[in-house]
Amino acid sequence: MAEYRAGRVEALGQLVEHTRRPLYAFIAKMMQGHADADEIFQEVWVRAMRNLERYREDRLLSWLFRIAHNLIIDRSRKTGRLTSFDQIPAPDGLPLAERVPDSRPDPASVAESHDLQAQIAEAVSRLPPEQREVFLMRTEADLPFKEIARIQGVSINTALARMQYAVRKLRYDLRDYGPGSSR
Amino acid sequence: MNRDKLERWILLRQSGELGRWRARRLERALAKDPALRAFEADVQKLTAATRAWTTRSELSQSVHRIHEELLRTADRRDLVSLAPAPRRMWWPALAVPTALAALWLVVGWPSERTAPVVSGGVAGASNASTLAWEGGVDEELDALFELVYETGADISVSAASNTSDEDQLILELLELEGITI
Repeated sequence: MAEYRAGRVEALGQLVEHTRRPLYAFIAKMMQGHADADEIFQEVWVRAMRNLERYREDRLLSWLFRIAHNLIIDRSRKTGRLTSFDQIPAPDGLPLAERVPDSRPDPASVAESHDLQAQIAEAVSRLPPEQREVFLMRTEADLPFKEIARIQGVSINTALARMQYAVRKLRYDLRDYGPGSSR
Repeated sequence: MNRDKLERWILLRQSGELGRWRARRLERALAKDPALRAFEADVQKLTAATRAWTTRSELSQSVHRIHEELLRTADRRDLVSLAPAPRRMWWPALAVPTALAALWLVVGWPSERTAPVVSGGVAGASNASTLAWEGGVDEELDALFELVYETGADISVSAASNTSDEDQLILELLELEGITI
């Protein structure tokens, strides 16, 4: 970053490339759309470069993910996407995510894409936003739960619970695609 | 042992945040429970499969647009080279001692009971005295970790250290009891 400030524009390219895989993948999979993902990815870097004074050498990726997290929330508020199931109260007190019936796609949709990756993409997209975010931060960026909790503004236990529920849902939704299955 | 807790320990182990003391207990539980082993294997498979699910991006255009946006909106601040200045708040430094004190007040400390014995040491002791954990100590340490994980107390250790946060917490507890490993 210091090199970019000193005028070496190519240093920006190196930084962006170094973080592209985890950061862009995370944003794209959260937003489920490449147009939004490109814009948010660029905005993350613009904001990062403008706020260098807040940057700590050993936490670059975590810092970038925090910026991305805030931008994704802002975008979802404007577009109305990424509704949080966790925040919708239910009469019996259970989060809505625990009450909705299995939301597997209909057979026609399944027939269109047998590829496991496609199924994973679809299953991840159906996760409640908070769980999807924790899951993607772990899988894409290998961020520790301590950092994820800090980014989401929750306790480590809450971040762990979100990951646990995400894994359980994905295991259930993808149970027909594991080893020994008929697919 | 509680299934929920063990699944979370699996997740913590995969992120490198599970201390050696709980990792040993997890290993014993995994050896006895095939469903738990299946959970661990599925987490690894899901991680690998998610990373393999690729997304495209036009990197060169992104970098170009980022640079243009910065130039377009540059002000005096952008032109000044700012050295990274780590800002640490003071209160996280008090969080661990506070959590320890709270646990001490609530559940007491096993030194008043039969003498604690730690075998092999939490951190691989080469100390001549051997100690082994009593079962009650396991539960109290579980309660302490739950407290820390729930309150968000910062138990960060130096990046140069190979000791996990949990191991560091145990070492601090032992130090409070006058036990050095």
